[in-house]
Amino acid sequence: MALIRNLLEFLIRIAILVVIIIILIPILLLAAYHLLGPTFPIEPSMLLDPSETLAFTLKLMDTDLFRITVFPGFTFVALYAAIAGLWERKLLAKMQLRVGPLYAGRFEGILQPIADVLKLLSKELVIPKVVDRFFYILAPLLTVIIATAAVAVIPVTDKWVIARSDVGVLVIFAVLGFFPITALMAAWSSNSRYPLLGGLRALHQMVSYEIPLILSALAPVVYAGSLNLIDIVRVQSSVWFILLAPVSAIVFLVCALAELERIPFDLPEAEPELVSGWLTEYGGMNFGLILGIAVYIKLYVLSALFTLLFLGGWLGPAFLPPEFWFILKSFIVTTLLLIPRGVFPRLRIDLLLKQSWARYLILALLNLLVAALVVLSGFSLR
Amino acid sequence: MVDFVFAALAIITIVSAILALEAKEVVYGAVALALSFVGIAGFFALLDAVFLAMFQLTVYVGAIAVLILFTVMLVRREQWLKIKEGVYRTAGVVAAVIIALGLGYLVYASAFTHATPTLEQAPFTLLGPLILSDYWAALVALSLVLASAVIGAVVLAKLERD
Amino acid sequence: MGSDLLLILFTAAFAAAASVPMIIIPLIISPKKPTKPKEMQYECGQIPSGAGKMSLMMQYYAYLLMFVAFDVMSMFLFAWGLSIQTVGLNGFFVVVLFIGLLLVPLGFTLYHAGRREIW
Repeated sequence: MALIRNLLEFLIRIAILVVIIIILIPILLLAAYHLLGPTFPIEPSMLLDPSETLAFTLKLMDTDLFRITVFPGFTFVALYAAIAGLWERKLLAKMQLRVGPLYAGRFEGILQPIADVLKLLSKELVIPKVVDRFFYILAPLLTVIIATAAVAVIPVTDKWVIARSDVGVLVIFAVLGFFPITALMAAWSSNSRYPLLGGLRALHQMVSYEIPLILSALAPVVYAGSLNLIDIVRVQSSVWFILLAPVSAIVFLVCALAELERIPFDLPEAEPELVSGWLTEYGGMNFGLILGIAVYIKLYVLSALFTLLFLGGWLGPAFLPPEFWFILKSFIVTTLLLIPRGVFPRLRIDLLLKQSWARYLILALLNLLVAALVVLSGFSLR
Repeated sequence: MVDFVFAALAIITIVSAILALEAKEVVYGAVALALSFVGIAGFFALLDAVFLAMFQLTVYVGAIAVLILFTVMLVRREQWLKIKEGVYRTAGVVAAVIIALGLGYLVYASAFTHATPTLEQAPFTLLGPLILSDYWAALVALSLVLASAVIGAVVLAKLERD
Repeated sequence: MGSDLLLILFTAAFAAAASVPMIIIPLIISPKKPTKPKEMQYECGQIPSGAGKMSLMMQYYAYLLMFVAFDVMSMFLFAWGLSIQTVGLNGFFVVVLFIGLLLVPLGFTLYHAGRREIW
C-alpha cells in the first residue's frame, strides 16, 4: 500500500509541475517575442519549409534573445561552468595521483556534471528550522542572477556581445560589489555559527581584494583610453597589455583568486575549520546553485575579463575563428586559477587582509602611475 | 516608456527606503537600504549618466550598504528595540514636511524649472578634466575628509581596546 | 546607452527564470521526510547549543572603513584614467597628491595592524 501511495504522490507532483510549466510557457513566449524585436519575421512556414530553415536560423542567431539565452549568454556560460567544474576535478585528481570522476559517460567520467545536476535535483531540500526562510532561499538565487548579469557585458568577439556598454569595466566591478551582500545574507539567514564566521571572513576578504583588483584593471584602461571592453581589445592588436603592465596582470590574477575564494585564499570555506563556510547550512539544489553554477560563472567572468584586459581578447592568428581564440585564452586563464588548489596551503586571516593592503594595493598603484607616465610621455597605441 | 520606468523606480526606491526604516528585523532594513540605493542608480541611468550610475552602485551598494549590513548584523536586536517613539516621531514628521516644502520651494524658485535641456548628452569622459582642472581643490578636500574618517575610526577602535 | 543596461537586466532576468525552476523542481519531485536532527543547525557530532548569531570579528572593522575610502578613490581614478592626455602633467600631480593623502591612513592602519596587541 505504501508503495502505491508513494507512487500516487509522485504522480500528483509531476502533474503539478506540468501545470506550472503550461502556465509559464505563454509568459516566457511573450517576453521572448518582445526580445526578438518587431522587425523579426515570424511565419509558421519558416519552421516547416526545410529550404527556409537555414535562413530562419541565421536570422534567429542575430537577435538579442539568442544572445541572451544561448551564445555569449546563459547556456554558453552554464556549459563553460560545467566543463570547468569537471576539468577542475580531473586536473586536481591527476595532480594528486587520484583518478577523479570515472564512471559517468564511460570515458574519464565526462558526463559527471549531468549526473551531478540530476542527483542534486532529486535530493530532498533540507531546510533547518532555525533559518530565516526568505533570505535563505533568496541568497543562492541572487548569487546566480548577479553573476550572470556580469556576463552580459563580456564580448566573446566584437560581434558576439549582449550589451555593448561604454562603461563595461565599471559594470563588472559594480556587479562584483554585490557578492558580499549575498554572502552576508546567506550567512545571517542560516542562523548558525559556522556560516556566520565564514560569511564575515568572505566579506572582509572580498572587500579587501576588490580595491587592488579595480586598480590593476585601471592600467589597461589608461593605455586604451576607454572603458569599452571591445575598444580595449582592438587597441591591443599590436601588443598585448600583459607586456605593458605585467605587475598589474599578476595583481589581477592574485586578487581574482581571492575574490573567487579559492585556495590559497579559501578562508571563508576552509573545510577543516569551518565545514563549508557560509554554505554550511545549504543542501540539495540550493547548494548546487551557488557552488555549482554561480561560483563557476564568476570564475568565467574573471578569467574572461583577464583575457580581455591583458591577453588581447579574441585577437589571434587568422587560421582559426576569433571565438576559438577567446575561449581558448579564457580556458587557459581558468586553468591557471584552478591549479593553486592542488598546490598551496591557506593563509591566516590577518596576514591575508594585511598583504592585500600592504602589497597588492601598492603594486597596483605603482603600475598605474607608471602606465600614466608612459601615456603622458606621448606613447600611444591608437 | 520612460515615464513608466521612472514610476517603477520611484516606487522601488521609496518603498524600500520606508522598509529600511520600519523593518522589524534590522538586517532586512539594511538590505532594503541597498535596494533603495540601486533604485537611485536606476534614476542616474535613466538620465543617461551611466558613469554616475556605476559610481552609485560601486560606492553606495558595494561599499556603504555592505558596511551598514555588516554593522547591523553584529548588533544585538534588544539594543535597538528600546528606543522610545511617540513625540520624536511626530516631531520628525513635521520636520521632514517642513524640509521637503522648503527644498521644493527652492527648486521651484530656481532656474531648474525654465532651463532648456540640450538634447545632445555630455560624454562622461569630460568628467576627469573637469575634476582635475576646475575642481581640483574639492578633490583634495575630499581625500582629506576620507583620510581623516579612516584615521578617526582606527583611533576610536584603539581607544576602545585600551 | 539605456538599452545596454536594459539588456543587462534582461540577462539577469533570464538567469532568474532559469534558476527558479531549479528550486521548484526539487520541491515537487524530491522525497520529504523531515526528522528532528535534519532540521537542526550543523554541528560536528554534538547537539548545537546557544544562539546562532553572535557578535564577533569587529577587529578588522578599520579595513572595511578603508575599503569605503579607497572605493571612492578608485572611482575618481577611473574618471582620471579615461582622460590622461587631456589633463596632462598638472592633473597627474593632483592625482598623485590625492593618492598620497589617502596613503597616510593606510600606513596608519597597517602600523596598528602590525602591533598585535591592538588586533
